[in-house]
This record gives sequence, structure tokens and C-alpha cells, in this order.
Amino acid sequence: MTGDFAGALSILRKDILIELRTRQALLAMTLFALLTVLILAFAFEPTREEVKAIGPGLLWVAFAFSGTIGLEHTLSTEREEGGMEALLLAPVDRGMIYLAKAAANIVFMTAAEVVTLPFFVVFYNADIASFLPELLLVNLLGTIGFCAVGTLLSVVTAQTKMRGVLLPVILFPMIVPVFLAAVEGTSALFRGDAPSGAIRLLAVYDIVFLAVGFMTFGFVVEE
Amino acid sequence: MNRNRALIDSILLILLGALMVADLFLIFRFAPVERTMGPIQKIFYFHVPSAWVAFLAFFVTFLASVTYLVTKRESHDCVASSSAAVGMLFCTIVLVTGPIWGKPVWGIWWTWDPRLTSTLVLWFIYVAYLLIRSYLPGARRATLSAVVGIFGFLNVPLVYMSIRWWRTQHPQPVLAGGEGSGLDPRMKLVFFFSLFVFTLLYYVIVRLRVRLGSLEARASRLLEERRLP
Repeated sequence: MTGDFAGALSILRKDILIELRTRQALLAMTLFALLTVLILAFAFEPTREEVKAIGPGLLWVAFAFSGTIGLEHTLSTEREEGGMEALLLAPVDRGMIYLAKAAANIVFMTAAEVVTLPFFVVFYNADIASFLPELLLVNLLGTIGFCAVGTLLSVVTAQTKMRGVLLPVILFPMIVPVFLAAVEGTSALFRGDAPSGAIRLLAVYDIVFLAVGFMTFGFVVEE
Repeated sequence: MNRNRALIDSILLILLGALMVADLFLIFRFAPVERTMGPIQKIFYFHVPSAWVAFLAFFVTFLASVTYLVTKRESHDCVASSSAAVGMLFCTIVLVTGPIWGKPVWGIWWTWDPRLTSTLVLWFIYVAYLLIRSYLPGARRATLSAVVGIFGFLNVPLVYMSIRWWRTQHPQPVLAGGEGSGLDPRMKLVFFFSLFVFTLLYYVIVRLRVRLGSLEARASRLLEERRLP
């Protein structure tokens, strides 16, 4: 078990190291999130009051889109030069490989979100300073749920003839609970309420799907 | 063995046909017309049984997906995919009949109520399930769709819980509810008859599809054998 854990950690370390050297995924994800925020500003031209109502949904639309790009990217790096086969040959439990891959996706997506938030504040004149820690917690829980399901489904859709095209088609209906809870939780923060209901639902979602992903990843990658 | 199966299938089909005609007669002739809603209320005898069948079908897909991963028997995969396809059909019926009833009774086609929204999300999940299935290479199809089938069904309660934060407009269950929610006994009889007929319809279609699947598998095995020597 400790060997598995060390293996998972080194997979995570490897993914982060590659990303720090190439910066491919992070750059694409962050730019895409920023562009979404920009385009939605053109689409709605919200006033300061309206930002409180539509801001949370807008942020999560941007996060979900950029997260999908990230999921596709981390997988395509493994496809090149048989990286996935090499990973599977490692003496590490398949479930732990899944957790490591999900953790890498969570790290990248969170990084893109953290860069996007200040731009959101500037473009929309939004005031998030008073509840920043709670906002980051809701974001993190939402991101974990998104990546728990996304990491597994991206490996499934990568094996279809249409590659990544099908990922959003199956991923978006599956993350409806994450999306609703994260948006509701963020809205509650903008209104000055505590997002306890959202946090509870997100925590349940995260635990359920991390556990199911851990158990089923072996079936998804077996050759 | 196969002969017996075919015989049972024919008997089931004839029985089903007769029961469906009887169901239509009961719905439009025997059941009383509802006082406030008028004849549009009769859609209830199609809408609710279809919803029940859709949920049952997706649950069967989930169970068959789990047992497929455990046993790796092809027939379980066949049950999972057939049940998902039939469930999708009934889910579509639910989503079409609902607004037809909603427009005259509520005055609107659609509302973002937990039941309506969950059914719509469910529809999207199983459309994606069937789409992914059709694009997966044969050797990996069964295993990967089983995993998607499990993920899809585990989502159902969470989708429902997350959407419940919005207000509910859907009628509360009238069958087991408290006072004032009772149905006319004739309506109740017709409803349960309809429920039974729809469930039988589901069973017969899935049964036929599974048989078709096993015949297809056998045909390709025979072709394979002929090609070998």
C-alpha cells in the first residue's frame, strides 16, 4: 500500500513537472477560461448588481469549459509514445494511477481558476475579498468532483472513434450536480449566506465518484 | 430449448397486444373524465407508466453493467444496452407527453422543477451512453459502456438532490399521498392496469432484443468457424 502511494505521488510529480516545463495545458486552459469570461461579459453586459446574480454561473461556465480542455490534454500526453502502456506496467495499483491522474487534473484546473478569479474581479467589478476562503473551498470541492468524473470519462471517450469530441457530451450531463451545487454555493456567498448545503452535496459527490472511479479505473484501462 | 423460447415469445406478444388494446379501451372508455382538467388528464395513464418504465430500465442497465463487470458474460452486456435503448425511448415519451399536458393545465410547456429537470438530465446521460457505445471498438465496447452505465445511474439521486433546491411545481404523487390526494377507484384501477401493461411491454421488447443479440453473436460465431479451416 505504501508502495502504491509512493507510485501515485511520483506519477503526480511527473505530471506537474512536465507541465511546469512545457506549460501547454495551463496556458491553454487559463486563456480559454479568460476568453469565456470576456465573451460572457460582451453577451450580458452586467451591472454591479447583476454580477451578483449571474457571476457564479458565469464563472463555472468558464471553469467547466477550460477544465474539459485540460482533461483532454493530460490524456493526449500519455497517448504519445505509449505513455499509457508504460504507466500500466508500473507496479502501482490501477486505482492509485486513477487518483494520481485525477489529482494532476485537479491541480491544473485549480491553477487556471485561481488565475481567472482576479480577472473576473477586475472585468466585472465584483467584490469577492470578504468571502475568498469560502469561495476557494467551494471551487476546490467542485473541481474535485469535476475531475473525479472527468478523468475516468476522458479515458473512456479517448477509446472511441471520435476521440475527445464525445467527452463534453457525456461529461456535462454527469456533472450537473457539481455545476448546480457550485453555482448555488457561490451565489449564497455573493448574497452573504453560508454555502453549507452546497458544500455538503459537493463533498458527497466527490467521495462517491472518487470511490467509484478508484474501483472501476482498472476496467477502463485494461488492454 | 430455442424452440421453447420462440414459443414463449409469440405467446407474450399476442398477450401483450390484447392487453394494450384493453388498456386503450379502459383509458378512453372506462376511466371517468377528470372534472377540472378534462380529457387531457388521460395522458397521465401514459406519462406516469412511461416514467416508471424509464427509471426501471435505467436501473436494470445499472445492475446488468455491474454484473457484466463481475461475470464478463456477454448476455449481461446485451441486457444493459437493450434496456438503456428501451429506457431512452420511454424517457422520450415522458418528455413529450409532459409538456402536452403542462401547457393546458399549468399554462406553460416547461418548468425547471426537480422531476422535469432530472428526467431531462437523465435523457442526456443515456443518449450519451448509447452514442459512446456505438463509437467504441467491439472488443472494448461492453466493459467501457458498463462503467459509463454505472456512473450514469449513480448520478441520478445526486442530480435530483441538487435540483431540488429550486421550487417544485410537479404534482405530488396522488396515489400514496395524504388526504385529498386520492384518485377515483376506477382511475386507480386503470392506472395500475396501464402500469402493468407498460412494464410488460418493456419486458417483451428487452427480451426480444436480448434474443436478437444472442442470435447475432451465434451467427457471427458460426461464420467464424466456417472461415477457420
